[in-house]
Amino acid sequence: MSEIAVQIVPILGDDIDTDRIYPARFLLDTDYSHYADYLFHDERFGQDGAKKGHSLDDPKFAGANAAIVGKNFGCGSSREHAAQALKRFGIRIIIGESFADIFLSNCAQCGIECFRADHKGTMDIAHQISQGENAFSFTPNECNLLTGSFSIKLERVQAGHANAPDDFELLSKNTEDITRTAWKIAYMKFWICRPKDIFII
Amino acid sequence: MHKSLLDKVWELHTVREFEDGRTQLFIGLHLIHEVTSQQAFGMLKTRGMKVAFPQRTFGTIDHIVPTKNLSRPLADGMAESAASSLEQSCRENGIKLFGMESAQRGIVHVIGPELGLTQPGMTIACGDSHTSTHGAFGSLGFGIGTTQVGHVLATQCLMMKKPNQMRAIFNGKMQSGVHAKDLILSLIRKIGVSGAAGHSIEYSGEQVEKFSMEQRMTICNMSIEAGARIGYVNPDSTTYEYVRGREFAPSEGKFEEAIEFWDSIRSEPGAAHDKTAEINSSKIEPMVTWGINPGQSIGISEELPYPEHMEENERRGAQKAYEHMKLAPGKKINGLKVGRVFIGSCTNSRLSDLVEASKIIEGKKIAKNTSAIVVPGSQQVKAHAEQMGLHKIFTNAGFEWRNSGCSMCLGLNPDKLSGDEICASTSNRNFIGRQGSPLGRTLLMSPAMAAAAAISGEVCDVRDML
Repeated sequence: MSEIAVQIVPILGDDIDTDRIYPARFLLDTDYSHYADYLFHDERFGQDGAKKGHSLDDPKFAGANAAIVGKNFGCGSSREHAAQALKRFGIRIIIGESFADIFLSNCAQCGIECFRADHKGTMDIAHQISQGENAFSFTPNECNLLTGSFSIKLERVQAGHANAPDDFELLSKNTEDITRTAWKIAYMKFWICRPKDIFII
Repeated sequence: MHKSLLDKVWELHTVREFEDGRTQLFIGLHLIHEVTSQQAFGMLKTRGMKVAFPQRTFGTIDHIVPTKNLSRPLADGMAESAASSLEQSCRENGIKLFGMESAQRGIVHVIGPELGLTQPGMTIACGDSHTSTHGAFGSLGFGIGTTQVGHVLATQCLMMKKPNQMRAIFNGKMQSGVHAKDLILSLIRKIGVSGAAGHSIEYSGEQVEKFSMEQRMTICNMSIEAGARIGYVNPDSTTYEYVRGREFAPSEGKFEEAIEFWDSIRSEPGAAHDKTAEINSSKIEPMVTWGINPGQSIGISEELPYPEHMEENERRGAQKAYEHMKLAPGKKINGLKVGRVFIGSCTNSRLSDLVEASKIIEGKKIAKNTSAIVVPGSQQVKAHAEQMGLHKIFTNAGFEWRNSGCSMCLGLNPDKLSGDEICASTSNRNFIGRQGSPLGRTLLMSPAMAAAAAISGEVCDVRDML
């Protein structure tokens, strides 16, 4: 994969928490196909359901596969729903100044790649978009994002792309190592209020 | 090289290190609840995997549970389906569930410690960001997402990058009327809501050593509000005496052996840290948040800050906060009218929190136009408080005395704000919409301060009521 065509939607602002990204009252819906509608729900829709003009609903950004965000994006609750909703909306790449730790893990598990740019970098990208320049190409190996004469180097924060190995597989590969490690730990011996632990993969 | 508790516990639980810098960590205790585990069980089913160590996972129902009417099926169909789905998953997989009828149920971060499941030196994971609470015992508590809940169910392991390490030192001694909540809010204000991102926090200092376990839990609970997934306190005799005798604690015969292990995982003097923050506890006054994140707080005697005096990135956040909160810079928070009061949540719903609040309201009545509820952290906390007669103090004052659960911390049950009500809350997040109304306004504070606000109907300095 040498080059990806990228179209970016701006979701600017710092410290955007996962309650804003995915309001709690939608947490109990387990049907992923509804999640794109819940994404930033209360910022996109008024109480009567009318659109408020959020960038996610702007026809200019329809079909975006990437988002540009500010500092500490995804802070707060561990709800994976926030990352899932971005994915169901079509977002595969997030570029931001910084990300919250748990949100990053969740993105990795959902197959969203996160990249860092400094404040000036994110502002420059936002500026390009505001000028109507929104057909970027991105080279994942060099982390280079370019459009026209504009080019910026991004820092890869974490793996999590479609080709990354599945953690379920990686973690269950070595069951012997797991049991060996477990039984070395002192509390595994004295915490025996329940039946003896048996590994049953 | 001198090692910190984090270094030691991390090393002890390392199964394997991967080239991408991540570690496969064994998880000693896994706690699950009805909101973030349903889809995880589904992932195991899809993959044909079984729960690897069912004896190391414990479940409870806390987020959706109504605090008034518990009759089944629950009125909210989605809530009923979340509860019954967890019940079924636990039954099918041999997982112990402290369910809706259990006298031991409660908020997951209250019952783990209360039952003696939470112990020093453990790695603890839960699909909830406030898992950092368990660090109060000198364990590493990881808040995780649903896919990672699936990983722990299937392998009892997590894939984690070792964090950098920050030390937060609370020197000096708190004044009367000041609580653990005020200290942690001060720290978050000082370092910011991303001040500890990518880091763990080790809490130490004179005041932390003096703290009870419940106070340490309040501090560690809000580590995530400063960006740290993990926050911990080195275990000591206060920790051991709390754990001793609890249902799942090591039995008396094994307890000395356990203490030997627990002592061995304490941070060594001189262990290196990447960052340090210091707070002089004696200078802290009761704190109240005024904005839309837990870093936006002020001391009760201070004026609301002017955005133009802030750095650029803080200024933008402050403007958004003033807009949502309908407040103005330069005014005092003292005197702001409060419509609702919520005493509860995994931050401040333990017995000592209820005792502190009851001291303020004893013999008084809550203000007209204010409604107030107390939601104990667990059914055991509730029973204990009732033995002490606390429920009478609360109900005589006009509070509602409810059953346990997460309740109005996140409004996933029937307890929600409506419209743009202002709520004095002992919970942990003042995010927009957090308490169930998109326009709702949350002011975070200690239980004593929330109790004082209920009595006067407005934000006030609890020290004037002592």
